[in-house]
Amino acid sequence: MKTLSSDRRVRRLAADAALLGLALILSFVEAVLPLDLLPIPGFRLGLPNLAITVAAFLFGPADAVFVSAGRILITYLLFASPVSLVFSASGGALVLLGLFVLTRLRRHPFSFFGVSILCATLHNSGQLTAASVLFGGAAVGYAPFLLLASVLCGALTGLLLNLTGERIFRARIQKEGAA
Amino acid sequence: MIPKRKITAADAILAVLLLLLAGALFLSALLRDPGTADGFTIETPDGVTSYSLTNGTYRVEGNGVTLTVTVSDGGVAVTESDCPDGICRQTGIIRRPGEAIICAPGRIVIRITGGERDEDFILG
Repeated sequence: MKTLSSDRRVRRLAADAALLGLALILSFVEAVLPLDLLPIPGFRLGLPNLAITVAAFLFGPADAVFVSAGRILITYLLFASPVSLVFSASGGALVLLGLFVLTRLRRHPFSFFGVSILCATLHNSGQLTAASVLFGGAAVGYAPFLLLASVLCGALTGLLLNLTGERIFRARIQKEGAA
Repeated sequence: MIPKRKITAADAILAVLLLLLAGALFLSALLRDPGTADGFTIETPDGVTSYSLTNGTYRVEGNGVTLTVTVSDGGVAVTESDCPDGICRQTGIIRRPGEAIICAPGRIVIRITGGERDEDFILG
Protein backbone atom coordinates (compact mmCIF):
# COMPACT_ATOMS: atom_id res chain seq x y z
CA MET A 1 0.00 0.00 0.00
CA LYS A 2 1.41 3.34 -0.95
CA THR A 3 1.71 5.96 1.76
CA LEU A 4 -0.13 9.18 1.24
CA SER A 5 1.58 12.45 1.96
CA SER A 6 0.41 13.78 5.31
CA ASP A 7 -1.37 16.65 3.57
CA ARG A 8 -3.53 14.26 1.57
CA ARG A 9 -4.18 12.10 4.61
CA VAL A 10 -5.44 15.07 6.57
CA ARG A 11 -7.63 16.12 3.67
CA ARG A 12 -9.04 12.63 3.37
CA LEU A 13 -9.74 12.46 7.10
CA ALA A 14 -11.45 15.84 7.01
CA ALA A 15 -13.52 14.86 3.97
CA ASP A 16 -14.56 11.56 5.59
CA ALA A 17 -15.55 13.37 8.76
CA ALA A 18 -17.58 15.86 6.72
CA LEU A 19 -19.27 12.98 4.89
CA LEU A 20 -20.07 11.33 8.23
CA GLY A 21 -21.62 14.60 9.40
CA LEU A 22 -23.63 14.74 6.17
CA ALA A 23 -24.78 11.14 6.62
CA LEU A 24 -25.97 11.96 10.14
CA ILE A 25 -27.88 15.03 9.00
CA LEU A 26 -29.48 12.99 6.22
CA SER A 27 -30.46 10.28 8.76
CA PHE A 28 -32.05 12.99 10.85
CA VAL A 29 -33.90 14.50 7.87
CA GLU A 30 -35.17 11.03 7.05
CA ALA A 31 -36.33 10.43 10.61
CA VAL A 32 -38.21 13.74 10.66
CA LEU A 33 -39.97 13.39 7.28
CA PRO A 34 -43.54 12.18 7.90
CA LEU A 35 -43.12 9.10 5.74
CA ASP A 36 -44.87 6.87 8.26
CA LEU A 37 -48.08 7.86 6.53
CA LEU A 38 -47.21 5.29 3.87
CA PRO A 39 -48.29 1.74 4.63
CA ILE A 40 -44.80 0.33 4.16
CA PRO A 41 -43.29 -0.53 7.53
CA GLY A 42 -39.89 0.95 8.12
CA PHE A 43 -39.91 2.84 4.83
CA ARG A 44 -36.97 5.24 4.46
CA LEU A 45 -35.59 7.20 1.55
CA GLY A 46 -32.05 5.96 2.09
CA LEU A 47 -30.57 9.46 1.89
CA PRO A 48 -27.48 8.57 3.98
CA ASN A 49 -26.49 6.26 1.12
CA LEU A 50 -25.59 9.44 -0.78
CA ALA A 51 -22.73 10.17 1.63
CA ILE A 52 -21.64 6.53 1.79
CA THR A 53 -21.58 6.15 -2.00
CA VAL A 54 -19.58 9.37 -2.36
CA ALA A 55 -17.07 8.17 0.25
CA ALA A 56 -16.70 4.84 -1.56
CA PHE A 57 -16.03 6.34 -4.98
CA LEU A 58 -14.06 9.36 -3.83
CA PHE A 59 -11.59 7.49 -1.62
CA GLY A 60 -12.42 3.80 -1.38
CA PRO A 61 -14.46 1.14 0.40
CA ALA A 62 -12.60 1.63 3.72
CA ASP A 63 -13.83 5.23 3.87
CA ALA A 64 -17.36 4.05 3.12
CA VAL A 65 -17.07 1.59 6.03
CA PHE A 66 -16.01 4.45 8.30
CA VAL A 67 -18.92 6.68 7.24
CA SER A 68 -21.50 3.88 7.36
CA ALA A 69 -20.39 2.38 10.69
CA GLY A 70 -20.03 5.83 12.24
CA ARG A 71 -23.48 6.84 11.08
CA ILE A 72 -25.12 3.64 12.33
CA LEU A 73 -23.45 3.85 15.75
CA ILE A 74 -24.18 7.53 16.27
CA THR A 75 -27.82 7.33 15.09
CA TYR A 76 -28.22 4.36 17.42
CA LEU A 77 -26.88 6.37 20.36
CA LEU A 78 -29.07 9.36 19.44
CA PHE A 79 -32.43 7.92 18.44
CA ALA A 80 -32.75 4.22 17.94
CA SER A 81 -33.35 0.94 19.71
CA PRO A 82 -30.96 -2.06 19.78
CA VAL A 83 -33.16 -3.95 17.32
CA SER A 84 -33.04 -1.15 14.79
CA LEU A 85 -29.26 -1.20 15.24
CA VAL A 86 -29.31 -4.83 14.08
CA PHE A 87 -31.44 -3.86 11.08
CA SER A 88 -29.28 -0.90 10.06
CA ALA A 89 -26.09 -2.86 10.52
CA SER A 90 -27.24 -5.81 8.41
CA GLY A 91 -28.51 -3.51 5.66
CA GLY A 92 -25.39 -1.36 5.86
CA ALA A 93 -23.06 -4.35 5.71
CA LEU A 94 -24.63 -5.65 2.48
CA VAL A 95 -24.40 -2.19 0.91
CA LEU A 96 -20.70 -2.00 1.79
CA LEU A 97 -20.10 -5.41 0.21
CA GLY A 98 -21.87 -4.19 -2.92
CA LEU A 99 -19.85 -0.97 -3.00
CA PHE A 100 -16.65 -2.93 -2.47
CA VAL A 101 -17.36 -4.76 -5.73
CA LEU A 102 -18.70 -1.69 -7.56
CA THR A 103 -15.67 0.47 -6.77
CA ARG A 104 -13.40 -2.21 -8.20
CA LEU A 105 -15.10 -2.44 -11.59
CA ARG A 106 -12.84 -1.39 -14.44
CA ARG A 107 -15.76 -0.44 -16.61
CA HIS A 108 -19.19 0.55 -15.34
CA PRO A 109 -22.30 -0.55 -17.19
CA PHE A 110 -24.22 1.60 -14.70
CA SER A 111 -24.43 5.26 -13.88
CA PHE A 112 -25.03 6.31 -10.27
CA PHE A 113 -28.72 5.65 -11.01
CA GLY A 114 -28.12 1.90 -11.28
CA VAL A 115 -25.53 1.92 -8.51
CA SER A 116 -27.97 3.56 -6.08
CA ILE A 117 -30.82 1.21 -7.00
CA LEU A 118 -28.48 -1.73 -6.37
CA CYS A 119 -27.43 -0.26 -3.01
CA ALA A 120 -31.02 0.39 -1.96
CA THR A 121 -32.01 -3.15 -2.91
CA LEU A 122 -29.03 -4.57 -1.00
CA HIS A 123 -29.89 -2.45 2.04
CA ASN A 124 -33.47 -3.67 2.10
CA SER A 125 -32.41 -7.28 1.45
CA GLY A 126 -30.08 -7.12 4.44
CA GLN A 127 -32.85 -5.76 6.62
CA LEU A 128 -35.32 -8.35 5.40
CA THR A 129 -32.81 -11.10 6.14
CA ALA A 130 -32.34 -9.76 9.66
CA ALA A 131 -36.12 -9.58 10.10
CA SER A 132 -36.54 -13.16 8.86
CA VAL A 133 -33.92 -14.38 11.32
CA LEU A 134 -35.54 -12.49 14.21
CA PHE A 135 -39.21 -13.03 13.38
CA GLY A 136 -39.47 -15.92 10.94
CA GLY A 137 -41.40 -15.81 7.69
CA ALA A 138 -43.77 -13.06 8.82
CA ALA A 139 -41.41 -10.43 7.43
CA VAL A 140 -41.17 -11.94 3.95
CA GLY A 141 -44.61 -10.55 3.07
CA TYR A 142 -43.04 -7.10 2.91
CA ALA A 143 -40.59 -8.11 0.18
CA PRO A 144 -42.51 -6.79 -2.86
CA PHE A 145 -43.11 -3.42 -1.20
CA LEU A 146 -39.51 -3.11 -0.11
CA LEU A 147 -38.32 -3.97 -3.60
CA LEU A 148 -40.59 -1.33 -5.13
CA ALA A 149 -39.39 1.18 -2.53
CA SER A 150 -35.76 0.27 -3.32
CA VAL A 151 -36.19 1.07 -6.99
CA LEU A 152 -38.00 4.36 -6.37
CA CYS A 153 -35.69 5.61 -3.60
CA GLY A 154 -32.55 4.33 -5.31
CA ALA A 155 -33.65 6.15 -8.47
CA LEU A 156 -34.08 9.37 -6.50
CA THR A 157 -30.67 9.27 -4.80
CA GLY A 158 -29.08 7.99 -8.01
CA LEU A 159 -30.42 10.92 -10.03
CA LEU A 160 -29.07 13.32 -7.40
CA LEU A 161 -25.63 11.71 -7.70
CA ASN A 162 -25.82 11.73 -11.50
CA LEU A 163 -26.51 15.46 -11.39
CA THR A 164 -23.77 16.28 -8.88
CA GLY A 165 -21.24 13.52 -9.69
CA GLU A 166 -19.39 15.51 -12.35
CA ARG A 167 -18.45 18.13 -9.76
CA ILE A 168 -17.91 15.86 -6.75
CA PHE A 169 -15.60 13.48 -8.58
CA ARG A 170 -13.99 16.01 -10.96
CA ALA A 171 -10.43 15.29 -9.83
CA ARG A 172 -10.83 11.52 -10.11
CA ILE A 173 -12.67 11.70 -13.42
CA GLN A 174 -9.81 13.77 -14.89
CA LYS A 175 -7.24 11.32 -13.57
CA GLU A 176 -9.13 8.34 -15.00
CA GLY A 177 -9.62 10.17 -18.27
CA ALA A 178 -5.87 10.77 -18.52
CA ALA A 179 -4.94 7.21 -17.61
CA MET B 1 -13.67 3.58 -11.77
CA ILE B 2 -16.35 6.22 -11.20
CA PRO B 3 -19.78 5.20 -12.52
CA LYS B 4 -21.21 7.12 -15.47
CA ARG B 5 -23.19 10.29 -14.82
CA LYS B 6 -25.91 9.76 -17.43
CA ILE B 7 -28.52 7.02 -17.23
CA THR B 8 -27.36 4.00 -19.21
CA ALA B 9 -29.24 1.12 -20.83
CA ALA B 10 -28.01 -1.15 -18.03
CA ASP B 11 -29.55 1.23 -15.46
CA ALA B 12 -32.92 1.05 -17.19
CA ILE B 13 -32.77 -2.74 -17.56
CA LEU B 14 -31.88 -3.14 -13.88
CA ALA B 15 -34.75 -0.88 -12.76
CA VAL B 16 -37.28 -2.61 -15.02
CA LEU B 17 -36.17 -6.10 -13.94
CA LEU B 18 -36.44 -5.22 -10.25
CA LEU B 19 -39.87 -3.64 -10.80
CA LEU B 20 -41.04 -6.75 -12.66
CA LEU B 21 -39.74 -8.92 -9.81
CA ALA B 22 -41.60 -6.78 -7.28
CA GLY B 23 -44.76 -7.03 -9.39
CA ALA B 24 -44.41 -10.81 -9.71
CA LEU B 25 -43.90 -11.23 -5.95
CA PHE B 26 -46.87 -8.99 -5.26
CA LEU B 27 -49.13 -10.82 -7.72
CA SER B 28 -48.13 -14.25 -6.42
CA ALA B 29 -48.91 -13.14 -2.88
CA LEU B 30 -52.22 -11.68 -4.02
CA LEU B 31 -53.30 -14.64 -6.15
CA ARG B 32 -52.41 -17.27 -3.58
CA ASP B 33 -55.74 -17.91 -1.88
CA PRO B 34 -55.01 -17.34 1.77
CA GLY B 35 -58.23 -19.01 2.96
CA THR B 36 -60.39 -17.56 5.69
CA ALA B 37 -58.98 -15.99 8.80
CA ASP B 38 -60.08 -17.72 12.00
CA GLY B 39 -58.23 -15.71 14.62
CA PHE B 40 -54.86 -14.22 15.41
CA THR B 41 -51.92 -14.89 17.64
CA ILE B 42 -49.76 -12.50 19.61
CA GLU B 43 -46.22 -13.66 20.10
CA THR B 44 -44.21 -11.91 22.80
CA PRO B 45 -40.94 -12.84 24.51
CA ASP B 46 -43.17 -14.52 27.13
CA GLY B 47 -44.92 -16.85 24.71
CA VAL B 48 -47.72 -17.11 22.16
CA THR B 49 -51.39 -16.44 22.89
CA SER B 50 -54.29 -17.04 20.49
CA TYR B 51 -57.28 -14.75 20.17
CA SER B 52 -60.50 -14.75 18.17
CA LEU B 53 -61.35 -11.94 15.77
CA THR B 54 -64.14 -10.46 17.88
CA ASN B 55 -64.04 -6.70 18.28
CA GLY B 56 -62.06 -5.45 21.23
CA THR B 57 -58.76 -3.99 22.37
CA TYR B 58 -55.83 -5.70 24.04
CA ARG B 59 -52.75 -4.39 25.79
CA VAL B 60 -49.60 -6.29 25.00
CA GLU B 61 -46.21 -5.90 26.59
CA GLY B 62 -42.87 -7.15 25.40
CA ASN B 63 -39.34 -6.10 26.14
CA GLY B 64 -40.51 -2.89 27.84
CA VAL B 65 -42.74 -1.79 24.94
CA THR B 66 -46.53 -1.60 25.40
CA LEU B 67 -48.85 -1.88 22.41
CA THR B 68 -52.58 -1.45 22.13
CA VAL B 69 -54.00 -3.95 19.66
CA THR B 70 -57.45 -3.21 18.28
CA VAL B 71 -59.68 -5.73 16.52
CA SER B 72 -62.55 -4.42 14.45
CA ASP B 73 -64.50 -5.94 11.56
CA GLY B 74 -62.18 -8.92 11.28
CA GLY B 75 -59.05 -6.76 10.99
CA VAL B 76 -56.28 -6.37 13.52
CA ALA B 77 -54.18 -3.22 13.94
CA VAL B 78 -51.80 -1.73 16.46
CA THR B 79 -53.43 1.55 17.38
CA GLU B 80 -51.04 2.74 20.05
CA SER B 81 -47.45 2.05 20.95
CA ASP B 82 -44.99 3.75 23.23
CA CYS B 83 -41.96 3.09 21.06
CA PRO B 84 -40.49 5.86 18.92
CA ASP B 85 -40.24 3.78 15.73
CA GLY B 86 -44.00 3.29 15.34
CA ILE B 87 -43.46 0.82 12.52
CA CYS B 88 -46.18 -1.46 13.93
CA ARG B 89 -48.73 1.38 13.71
CA GLN B 90 -47.52 2.17 10.22
CA THR B 91 -48.26 -1.40 9.10
CA GLY B 92 -52.00 -0.67 9.39
CA ILE B 93 -54.76 -3.25 9.44
CA ILE B 94 -54.08 -6.91 8.70
CA ARG B 95 -56.85 -9.37 7.88
CA ARG B 96 -55.55 -12.17 5.64
CA PRO B 97 -54.10 -15.40 7.10
CA GLY B 98 -50.33 -15.18 7.26
CA GLU B 99 -50.26 -11.38 7.40
CA ALA B 100 -48.36 -10.04 10.37
CA ILE B 101 -47.52 -6.90 12.28
CA ILE B 102 -44.03 -6.89 13.69
CA CYS B 103 -42.89 -4.73 16.58
CA ALA B 104 -39.13 -5.09 16.40
CA PRO B 105 -38.17 -3.28 19.65
CA GLY B 106 -40.74 -5.23 21.70
CA ARG B 107 -40.04 -8.52 19.89
CA ILE B 108 -43.80 -8.85 19.34
CA VAL B 109 -45.36 -10.51 16.29
CA ILE B 110 -49.10 -10.31 15.69
CA ARG B 111 -50.19 -12.79 13.06
CA ILE B 112 -53.52 -13.71 11.47
CA THR B 113 -54.16 -17.45 11.58
CA GLY B 114 -56.43 -19.70 9.55
CA GLY B 115 -56.68 -20.87 5.96
CA GLU B 116 -54.51 -23.65 4.63
CA ARG B 117 -51.03 -22.25 4.87
CA ASP B 118 -48.45 -23.82 2.70
CA GLU B 119 -45.75 -24.74 5.15
CA ASP B 120 -43.15 -24.28 2.41
CA PHE B 121 -43.63 -20.56 2.71
CA ILE B 122 -42.57 -20.39 6.31
CA LEU B 123 -38.90 -19.62 6.54
CA GLY B 124 -36.70 -19.45 9.56
